[in-house]
Amino acid sequence: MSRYLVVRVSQGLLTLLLVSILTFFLINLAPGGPSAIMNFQSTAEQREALTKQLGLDKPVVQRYAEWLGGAVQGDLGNSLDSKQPVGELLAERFPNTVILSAATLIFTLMIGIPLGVLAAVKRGSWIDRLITFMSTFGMAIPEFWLGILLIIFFAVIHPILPISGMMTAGSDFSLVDLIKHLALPMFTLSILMLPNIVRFTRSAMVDVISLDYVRTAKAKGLGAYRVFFQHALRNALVPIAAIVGLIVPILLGGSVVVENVFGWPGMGRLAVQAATNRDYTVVMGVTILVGAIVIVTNILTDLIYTVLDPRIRYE
Amino acid sequence: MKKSRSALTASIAILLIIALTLAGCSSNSGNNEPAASGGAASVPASESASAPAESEGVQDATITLATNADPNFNPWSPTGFVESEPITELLFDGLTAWGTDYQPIPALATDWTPSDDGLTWTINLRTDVKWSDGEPFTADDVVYTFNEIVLKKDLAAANSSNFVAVDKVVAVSPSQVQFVLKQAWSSLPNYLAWFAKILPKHIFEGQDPWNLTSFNKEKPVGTGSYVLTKYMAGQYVELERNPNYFGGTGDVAKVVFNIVPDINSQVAQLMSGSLSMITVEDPNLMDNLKSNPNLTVNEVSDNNYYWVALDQSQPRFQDVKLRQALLYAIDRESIIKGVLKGYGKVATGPINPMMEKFYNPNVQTYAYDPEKAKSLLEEAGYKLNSDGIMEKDGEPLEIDMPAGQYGTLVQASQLVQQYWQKIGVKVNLQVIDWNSYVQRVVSNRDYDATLCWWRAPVDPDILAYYHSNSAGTGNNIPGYKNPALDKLLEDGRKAKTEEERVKVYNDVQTMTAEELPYLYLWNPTIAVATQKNLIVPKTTFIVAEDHITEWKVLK
Amino acid sequence: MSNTASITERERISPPSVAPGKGRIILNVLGGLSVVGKASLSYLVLIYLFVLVAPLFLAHSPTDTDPLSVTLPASGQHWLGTDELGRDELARIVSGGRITLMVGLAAMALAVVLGGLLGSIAGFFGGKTEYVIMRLVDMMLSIPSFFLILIEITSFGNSPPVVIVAVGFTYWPQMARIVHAEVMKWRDSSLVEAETTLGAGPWRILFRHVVPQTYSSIIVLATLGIGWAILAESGLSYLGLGIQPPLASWGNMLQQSQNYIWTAPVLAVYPGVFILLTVLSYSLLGEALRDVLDPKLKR
Repeated sequence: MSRYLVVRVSQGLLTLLLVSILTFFLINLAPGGPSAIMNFQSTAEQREALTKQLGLDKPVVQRYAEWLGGAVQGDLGNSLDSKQPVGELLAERFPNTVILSAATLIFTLMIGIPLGVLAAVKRGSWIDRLITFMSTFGMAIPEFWLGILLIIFFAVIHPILPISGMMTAGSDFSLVDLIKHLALPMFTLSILMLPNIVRFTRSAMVDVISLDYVRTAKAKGLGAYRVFFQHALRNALVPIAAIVGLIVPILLGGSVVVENVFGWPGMGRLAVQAATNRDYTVVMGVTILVGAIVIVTNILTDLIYTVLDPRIRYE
Repeated sequence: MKKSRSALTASIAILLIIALTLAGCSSNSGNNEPAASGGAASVPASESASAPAESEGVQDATITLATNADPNFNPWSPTGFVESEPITELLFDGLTAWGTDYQPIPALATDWTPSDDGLTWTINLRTDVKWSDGEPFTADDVVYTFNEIVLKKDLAAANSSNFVAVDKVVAVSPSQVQFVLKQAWSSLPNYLAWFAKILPKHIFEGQDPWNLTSFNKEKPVGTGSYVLTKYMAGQYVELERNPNYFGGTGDVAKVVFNIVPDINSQVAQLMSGSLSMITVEDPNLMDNLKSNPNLTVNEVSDNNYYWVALDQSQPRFQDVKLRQALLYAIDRESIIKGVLKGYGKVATGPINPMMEKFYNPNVQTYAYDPEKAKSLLEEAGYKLNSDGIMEKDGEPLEIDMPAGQYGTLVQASQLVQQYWQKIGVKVNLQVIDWNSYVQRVVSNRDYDATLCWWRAPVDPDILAYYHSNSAGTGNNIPGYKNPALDKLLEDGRKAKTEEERVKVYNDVQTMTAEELPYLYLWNPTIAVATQKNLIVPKTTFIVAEDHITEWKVLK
Repeated sequence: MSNTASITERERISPPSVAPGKGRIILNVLGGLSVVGKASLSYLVLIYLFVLVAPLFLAHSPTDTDPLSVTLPASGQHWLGTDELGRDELARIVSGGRITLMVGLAAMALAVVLGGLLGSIAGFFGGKTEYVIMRLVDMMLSIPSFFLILIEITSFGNSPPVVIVAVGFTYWPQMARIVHAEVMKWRDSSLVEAETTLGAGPWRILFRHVVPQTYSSIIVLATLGIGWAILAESGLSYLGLGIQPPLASWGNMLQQSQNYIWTAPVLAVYPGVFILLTVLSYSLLGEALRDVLDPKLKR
């Protein structure tokens, strides 16, 4: 077990290293340069001075080595733009992404699991087909288009919900205010997530329902609801828990677009800003953090799996 | 197995707790900070202050403005200029400021006089100014700001290239400085009003001005009419009236800058009343805002012109006939009428009609005339080839045109492409992201034609954009070189009387209209939209901010 | 290999059906499609025909600007009105559709080839080859694809080939994983044994006998994936990273339309509806194909 963990963690670290190399060289070879240098009104003299100031006159390999040296000691460097430590910037933005993602996840699990169970139970019926079709439909909507439509509706036609930001500027924190601001981005992100959850739940339930002991329970004359909730759902929870690991990357990817559509001050917006400003250190920071989250989630998911289902063991 | 299972459960629980605490932390900090900074207390105060029966206005109003990204509070920082300027304009002062007629008026300086040879300006300073941390403001701060930040070549401060004519700044006494120039420069007072804010020496001395994040991103110290009270990254910036401001105080007690990246969201927030005032540059939005009964829309001129630069390091573009032909081919009137919805004027040259004294309307013009364009091309030696493309000596007239993703540049470039193709010019439009665009066009000068704009202080001095010395490396993007124009521009800087200047710049405009160093497109009209109850001077956003003490907030 | 993988795979993996003649299979499969599947297929055939043939009949060019007739409403002249530069919206939809549909197909073709090749090699040969390839797959899967594409496009620019490669490149690991799992099941089968005894080389066995067994999974996954690729391109366009004007794509038309939500919100509707219908059809068709090709899953 612990050997398995060591292997998984070291594989994860190796992955992170490769990701960092790939990202670092790609962005550094990209055309354009940091916004400080690429100012339309700057003169050749200014650009030269700034290139030197930012250390970009050094060879890429040397810069990567320096970055890596810092990174292993927990120092991700400073933003080329604001000069703030990258770690600080990430700490500022990450919790906001967690709020949006967690709210979305809870919301979609609350709706998605019952819908998935319902579809599985009524397998083949019109309800099942409707639910399956709706989830296919949800997956086919471009999320930012949905965002724009919501903005048109809530800005132009019927302004009752805020369309941008995380709280009313200048006001104190209030949960109601946060929830109001959360409503549209969360809804948009949910449309992306819900189909995944519904489908996974449905297929996991279908697997379980066809198992012998459920059939037996049914045959013993136990009530349908009791069978499903006491026996089937409990077993289906194993794969459902595991899908959270599959969903986190989708969630993070989706939040990039949603955060940008609704001006949500999270990591997705930071990533896009950093990419457009060629803020190399921040791009690296975001990539590493996101990569680490996904890897850790995957490992955790596998472990949760063993906890929920003792039959599975890792050697 | 059993043991490791419970250990696992525990570690999962711990992770959950961490996640919850993280979420909790951010909400807690949101909760505590305002109380700590005293911001929370001021909200009810402003509400109760509005109760008294003074019919004319609210005494301690809060207004909400917008900016589009996280600001940098250092006004000279090489990054984040656009999103920071509306905020630094209130936090800091320059030696001069803009009057609503765009003439320099006293700010930290009380008066300014040039020497007879024009090589020195003597500037007297106010003696009653304090930094927001209580330290007195003196000539040393001015000297430090210029000598150690603006003029330090290695630092490459934003806009520092505006001051290349300045050799150094000398403190004569605590209340007097001298600007020592390399060449005479009559526009100095105007440029001192153009985002040239003075920074506190006592904070910056011995520090790297760009790395001082405690000032630049957290707690700026200024002399301005407002001081920073709270900054929530990615969300908003809150300023409060500086009680010690030398320029007195007005109705507005608190200014909140909401960070809203998207103009659609800004407009929506203005319409719903949660923003007090925004700048609108998109003509599509103007009529919409004008029809809203709760808003006042002030149309204002902006000293800004859109142009197409043709790379004049290539011999083919050195032929003035070709340049004129390409301008005749563009129907600027129709673009302004249709795409800009009438919010703009055809530009005749580098000097904006808003500078009434200097603007010269009697210059050569280029009304849309595709036939004339074709005949000019023929005069220049071009002929239509079998593919319908103009060709000279077997070389087809093919133009690579990079366009940067910024504002309306991509749309405008597509229009120009279509017009040129109609007269047989092949245009390869390449849309690229802004930073790559700047690298390609400004840094590498790797383009045939490109469309962009210049925005400059309201001043006829345009030397930086036209002088041969700045071709290739500076702001002379098309690389136009003409000794006669160079001479005129230098004379303009030396001119002592306004009469002399008017004459010189009239000649400059005659020459630029004939020669077309840039192809002039249009001067856009922009707008400042405010809530009906907010009365601000009818001028651009930034200049209005310089006069924030005059703003009236009606009930 | 993690257990999470096996869940998704379980959904898709099925024992291969016995292979009759090629033309027959296609007819059988199409005939066996559900009503929804047939409807989706018909829509897709129609939309491809539409974007390919319509330009021959359209009165307007998709690039002809006219500043004096911008954002006109639908009329007899312009059936869908005009866009922000006075171009005919219908002509834009048609030429944008060509690009969008082409990007979707090409990106998926790339993913199928790359993923199929690497996946089958890993699955068939096993050992170190398998380890290296599958770790690479894991790595690719652990970076959210949007971040990866973002970096690729900012690095290499956004011409159509780069967009195709960037989108295709992020989908190949999923393809590789499925093919790997399928091929692995055949590695030790009697079929392979028999061929080996007959003296066939491993590459020949792999590509002549084993890989064909994975076709049905690949077809299903690729059909679903084309829709995903179209969505990905439109998302990139939203961030200004997709196909660039003056070329039209449904994605960049949507992106441009954002500037006109107050004056011409309908510009945001047309391309969005086409993307939605197309992606939806690909997904429904993919599901219908799965029901036919993997009958065991139809439960």
